[in-house]
Amino acid sequence: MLCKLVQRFVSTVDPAEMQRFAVYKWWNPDNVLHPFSDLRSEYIKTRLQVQNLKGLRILDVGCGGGIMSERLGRLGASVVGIDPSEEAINVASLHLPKILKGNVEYKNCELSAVDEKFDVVLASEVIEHVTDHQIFLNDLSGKVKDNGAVFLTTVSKTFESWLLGIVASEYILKIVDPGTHQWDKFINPDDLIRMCNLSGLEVHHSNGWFIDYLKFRAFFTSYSRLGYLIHCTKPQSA
Amino acid sequence: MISDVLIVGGGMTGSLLACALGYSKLFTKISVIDALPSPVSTNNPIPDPRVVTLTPASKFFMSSIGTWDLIPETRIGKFSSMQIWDYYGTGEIKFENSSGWVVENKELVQANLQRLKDLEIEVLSPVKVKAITRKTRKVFVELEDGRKLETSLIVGADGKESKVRNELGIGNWCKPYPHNGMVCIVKIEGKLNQAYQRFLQTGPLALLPLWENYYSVVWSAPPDIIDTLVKAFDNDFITQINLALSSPSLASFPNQSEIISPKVIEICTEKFSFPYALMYANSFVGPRVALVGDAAHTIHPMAGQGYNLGVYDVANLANILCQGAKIGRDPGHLAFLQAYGNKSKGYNSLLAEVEESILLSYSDIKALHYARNFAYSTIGRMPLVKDAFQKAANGFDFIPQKFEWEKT
Repeated sequence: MLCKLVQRFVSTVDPAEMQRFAVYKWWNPDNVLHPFSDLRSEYIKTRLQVQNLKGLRILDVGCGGGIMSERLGRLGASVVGIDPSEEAINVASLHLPKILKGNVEYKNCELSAVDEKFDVVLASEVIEHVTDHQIFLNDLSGKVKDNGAVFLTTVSKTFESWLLGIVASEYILKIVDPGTHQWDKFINPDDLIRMCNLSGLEVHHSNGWFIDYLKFRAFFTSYSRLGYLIHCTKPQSA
Repeated sequence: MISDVLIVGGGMTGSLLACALGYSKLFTKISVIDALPSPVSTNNPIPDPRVVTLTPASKFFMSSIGTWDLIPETRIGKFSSMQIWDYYGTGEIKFENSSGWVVENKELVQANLQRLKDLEIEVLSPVKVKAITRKTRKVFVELEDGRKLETSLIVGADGKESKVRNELGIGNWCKPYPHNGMVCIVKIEGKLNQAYQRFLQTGPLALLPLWENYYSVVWSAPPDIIDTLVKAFDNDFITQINLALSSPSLASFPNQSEIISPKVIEICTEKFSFPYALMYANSFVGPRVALVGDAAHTIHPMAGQGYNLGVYDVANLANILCQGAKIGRDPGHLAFLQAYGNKSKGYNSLLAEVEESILLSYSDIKALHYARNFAYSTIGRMPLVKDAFQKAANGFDFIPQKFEWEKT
């Protein structure tokens, strides 16, 4: 019991989740993360009001196979992708093209092991896989510079997300491997905003998103009872 | 050398794609390889018989990337209506608003190369590809002169015998047409600027206006007839073509007042012949590879759509790649290339189907002639249907309404 408690305070990594993602097919062309990445890159660009990300140092928390890290690197940012799963980091490093070697680096470590502050911190589709949301957000908030931005994306805890996000996508349509998500770890926008505020982040904007599986294209929607994105900044510390 | 996109084939299609990608300024490095040396400008007053007809959509795309304005205006043939009639005199159809532009292949390539020079994109030529190796992250290309290139995406724009297609093991499906083709340049009496297409018993014969009274002839017929035509003396050929255009006498046509038969007076160039085939690559895209133009598909040239389909490919592929570059996509990742592949397959199969049915309707089965003539006269008399046909022929249905490089 004590061991478990200590582990909780040190790490928000869930070993069972890590196991699940070890065999995940990140770069499979059918992976819905690809069209979703179009949307994520667009969201980051629009919210930061920039045409490219040149000169920004970005931390991609839970980078997985490096789908977003490569995108950000291609847009000119200097990216550090971290993931606790060694397999994922291997996939990411092997996939990284030579042209991006100067822009993107991967580290197989946990969030608490990062000792640098970044202009932008991205934790996309990660928070629903960690053991403790609040500890994770506190850690995250510690890794961003003053006036820096934090982008979070995750899934709402609603009946719709259970039906579409788990039952339909994992078991009926089989777009996502069964067991990828657990509904009780999902988190509603209101709760996430409250927790962000608690960890010293100021929430500026949130938006829902949805994916059209037939057209294989993701789009923004005001309906955030499924997936959503959040943009926060860290106010200058007094 | 590492590039984002490597285009194999610097002909009319490949160089056009390079212009579009270069113009967008969204890529670090675009490379073009061509097996042939760049053509030199001759400025011959007599047109070259190798010409293409461009649809309004193709012209729209070329204007948007700045290559159209580099084609000398004096070397562009323009027509604003097309007269189509058959051998028996019924079922003629006149498209008043079907405009097209006729341009020599060499002028198009020249304009594109000029544009590439402005955009500081290098064309490696003349050099052939020796080997292509595809890995998960990269494609490695070895040239015959020993140079080694690396790219995220390789584009095959190297014609119907595409090396890229064969090296990467993309199969193709091919069906020869019962026709061969013959092209040459002629002079006709008077100055008329409409295009003509007559369906003879043996196959279609098209006359496309260039400038002054030069016309480009595209004659499709069974191989033995084409051989005879190519070997014929100039005078015999002129007699043959005039017969083909005017017999039987116009008096037997019900709507004779609407039909004009052009009269050929002089043949100005050599005659070239070539075989036709309906060809499809089994897939237009693959991991880190995309095929455009003749490398992906060839069709019967009777409607003058062959090159335009290649231009639509270029417009769509360039647009998708630019869209991706704005949000940091890997240009060679199959998840996005598929969008291009699906779209291109769509309009290509549509036009191939239409052409197949037109060819069938002009085959020597009498019953089909009545059905066709009825259909054509009906189309000609139904403005809405005619409009739909013309819209497809214009090509605007097949290209993006607004290109990524035009968006701010």
